Amino acid sequence: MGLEKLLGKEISQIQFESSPEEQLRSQRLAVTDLEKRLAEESSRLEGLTQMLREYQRDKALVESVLPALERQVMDLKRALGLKIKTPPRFIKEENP
Amino acid sequence: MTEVEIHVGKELSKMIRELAKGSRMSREEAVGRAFEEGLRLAGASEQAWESLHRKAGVSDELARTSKRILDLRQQWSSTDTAYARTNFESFETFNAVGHLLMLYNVFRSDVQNLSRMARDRGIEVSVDLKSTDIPGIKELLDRYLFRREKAKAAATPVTDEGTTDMNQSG
Repeated sequence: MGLEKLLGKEISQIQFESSPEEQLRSQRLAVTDLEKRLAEESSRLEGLTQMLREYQRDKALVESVLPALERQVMDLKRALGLKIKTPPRFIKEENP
Repeated sequence: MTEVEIHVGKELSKMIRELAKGSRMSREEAVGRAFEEGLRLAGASEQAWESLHRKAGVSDELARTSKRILDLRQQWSSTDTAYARTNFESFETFNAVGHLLMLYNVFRSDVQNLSRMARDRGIEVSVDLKSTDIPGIKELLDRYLFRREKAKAAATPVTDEGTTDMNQSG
């Protein structure tokens, strides 16, 4: 309990600006304000997270067809005897 | 007093004096911050919070309120950080989808042109574009490519003189 005594003495020697009643009132206002801001921020985060999930779902959808499309392009180029300048990006087994 | 208590006590005393002197924060805010740091320094549990406040002459209600404020600030800060991270990831993913859709368009166009070329040369090729159709592709293109282009165009309006007015916002 030595620490608490030391602190109590230290704090009691400090002159603060407002009375305990005023402090409590301002602290309660601060709590209300913070709760409101937290609720707003949480709601914004929830909306953004949902949007991100939609983007991720769309990304996965587009990515799922790109290997087959790229393969068709490569096959056609080979059939036509065209030079393939760049290595495939989406056909995994043909990547080095 | 143990050595740890003396060390923590000194640190806290110093901190409370600095807080009270250097800023216009309220009593319990100064006490709250100092105690929070003290608890961290001492490795004490948070259960000591109210006890410490009581010993320091702060009412239970004030102690609870100041603790609530600290908790709320902590939560708000974490949520704000999570928002910034998600916002960045969201922006990156949106752009990535737009880029992939452009490649999708290029590949499909290549397949059509190359198969036409093959037919013209009498080369037999089997092409199956249908298997790579994306359901709702029009909406996707609108969402990730055209809408972005429209937004860009709206952001740089053209003035009567036919020049772009950079001072106006869309």
